[in-house]
Amino acid sequence: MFSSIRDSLTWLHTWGGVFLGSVLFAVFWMGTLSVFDREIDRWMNPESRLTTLNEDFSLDIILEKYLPPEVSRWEIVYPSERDKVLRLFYMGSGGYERVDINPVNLERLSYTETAGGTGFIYPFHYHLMFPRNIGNWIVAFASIVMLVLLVSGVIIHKKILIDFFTFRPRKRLTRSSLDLHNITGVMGLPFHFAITISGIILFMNYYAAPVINRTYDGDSFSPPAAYYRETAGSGEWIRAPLGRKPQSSASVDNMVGKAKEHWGGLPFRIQAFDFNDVNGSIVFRRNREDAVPLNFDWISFDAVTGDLLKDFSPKPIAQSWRWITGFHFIQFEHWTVRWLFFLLGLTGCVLIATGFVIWFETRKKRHSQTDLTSVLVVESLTITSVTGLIAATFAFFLSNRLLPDDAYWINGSRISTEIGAFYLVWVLTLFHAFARHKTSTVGWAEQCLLIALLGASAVCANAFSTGDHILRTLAGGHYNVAGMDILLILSSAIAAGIFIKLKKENAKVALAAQEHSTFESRSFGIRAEPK
Amino acid sequence: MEKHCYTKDFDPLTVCAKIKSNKNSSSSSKVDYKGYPANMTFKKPKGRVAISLAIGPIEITQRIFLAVLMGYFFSMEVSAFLGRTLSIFIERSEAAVFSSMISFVVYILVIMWVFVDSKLSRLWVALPGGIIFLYAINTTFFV
Repeated sequence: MFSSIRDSLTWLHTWGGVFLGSVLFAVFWMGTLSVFDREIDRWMNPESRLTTLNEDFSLDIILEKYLPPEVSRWEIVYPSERDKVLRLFYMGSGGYERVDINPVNLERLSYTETAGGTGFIYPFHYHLMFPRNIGNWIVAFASIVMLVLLVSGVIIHKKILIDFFTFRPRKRLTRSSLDLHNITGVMGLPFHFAITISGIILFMNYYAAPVINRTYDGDSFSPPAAYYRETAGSGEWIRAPLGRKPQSSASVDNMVGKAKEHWGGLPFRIQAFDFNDVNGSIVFRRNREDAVPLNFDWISFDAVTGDLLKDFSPKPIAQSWRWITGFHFIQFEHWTVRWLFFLLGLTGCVLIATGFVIWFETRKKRHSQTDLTSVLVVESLTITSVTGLIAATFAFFLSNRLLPDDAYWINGSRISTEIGAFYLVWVLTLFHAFARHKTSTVGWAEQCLLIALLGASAVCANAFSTGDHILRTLAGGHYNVAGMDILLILSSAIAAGIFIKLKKENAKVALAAQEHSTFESRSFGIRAEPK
Repeated sequence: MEKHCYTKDFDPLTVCAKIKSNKNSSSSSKVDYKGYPANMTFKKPKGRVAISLAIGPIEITQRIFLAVLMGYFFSMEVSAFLGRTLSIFIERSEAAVFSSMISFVVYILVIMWVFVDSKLSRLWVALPGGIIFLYAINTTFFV
């Protein structure tokens, strides 16, 4: 574009970041929270806060007790360290039914109607709760731009080693945010690159569909069924139903024993197809907790005789694809890595937010002397997409604890009402940012106060509505709930600290503005209105 | 006056250089400037800010179109060619998985190429031409 590559990439880095930074921040923030999605589920669904993990129960008894007759499809999700509830789903006469079971005493648990971490925060991470097709493509495009930004960010860097060790928090805001941008960018670079590209690669059946289609002699845009069959063994577990009802069904416990022998560990999911037919089959999926790959391995059994039918494990390159996917999903059991992912995800959020700050701080002074309003717009949008999104997330948590069980106000479901609270707060922060930030940093400050209040009240609401306050959860070993509360308190404290600091600086700047007629010496200060 | 010209038709540095930044002085001149309001005044931008402004909207639109859409289909066809070639030597599903994973790296490189290349005409020939050529090869040969 320009005569030098560095200038061209600087241009790309600047505008790519400004135009897609908001999407990237939302994806990074929700992705960071999704690292602890099961823990958020426990917090938002208090009935599932069990203490002891029991994996030694009889599935035959459970099926006899909870599965109605004549069900053709059912599914069991095994309890795990992070989610100690056994779940049974089946296709009943009135649609898909869910049964939560306590695996210790095999009693049925009630559950709070909530989307929780796995139902809202995690899907928001990859399709922004847009219609799936549109949302997926927006996130994919933003991810590709993120990768381009990372590569171009390294190339336009002049002294990468020096920047690695440089942070000057007491300098001008532009300088200190540039330092912070460089530090988080350089230190987190391997993680940010790996997590972003693995996030695209895991959806490659969707995003690189033409490649697969061409390789399979096609000339259109969707992978053929043969591809799914060869990579994942999809559909091979189903046999054609014969239409005759079976006299008896085989013991599922025996099949579990065989699967355990086969893999050296428990399955994590059991699915039955055509269970009310003599040709029914039961599929076991291999546990994903003991290794990185989000594996495709499965074995299937005859539902009537209990004989092993088929046994599938992917080929080497497909397995490497599953490894990359598993790296992104971190379903494996490793708390150190989980916390590292969380912290590195937060550095990604800092990276994106400081990128915005650099953009508008370097332009603020110049734009204040002209009629240009783009700085105002970008700063308002940044406030909305950074502090506004965090506030909306906390409002989502708070609404979960405050709404009554029959809050079917939006779309006739409590889940939609909770999500409605999220969007309501987000839209309000948008209006607030455009209305309030014009003269100084009050927009930032007030939204930080909002975050602090929402976070603190979410912790209190949890303590009052469930009785699980931090001391009790810590003493009782509910570390998932305690961790969530502690992180909420910590982020509220940080937000309150930022609010106090910004308020002091605003007061200082306002004082300076009264004393001197030329008050533009501080770039974060009062914006001069154009004449 | 330092003249640092990035493009032929759009260079805010030379336009802005004469304008004083002091808001109190009444001597700031008005510049007629394509794409911007007539009564707008500029302070001379420096460094990254100057670079970010030094290109016209028509060229930007073309490059975004080439990078996003053309670049996508180009990298898909390149990777499909790789996949079809590989499937001679290894199993077809494995070739498909491998070339699909590689396709995103190709896409990133193509996007950066589109924004770095100084000649737009070359891009307009190479990308659509490459797509048609590779599509023809991928859907006719190796079948």
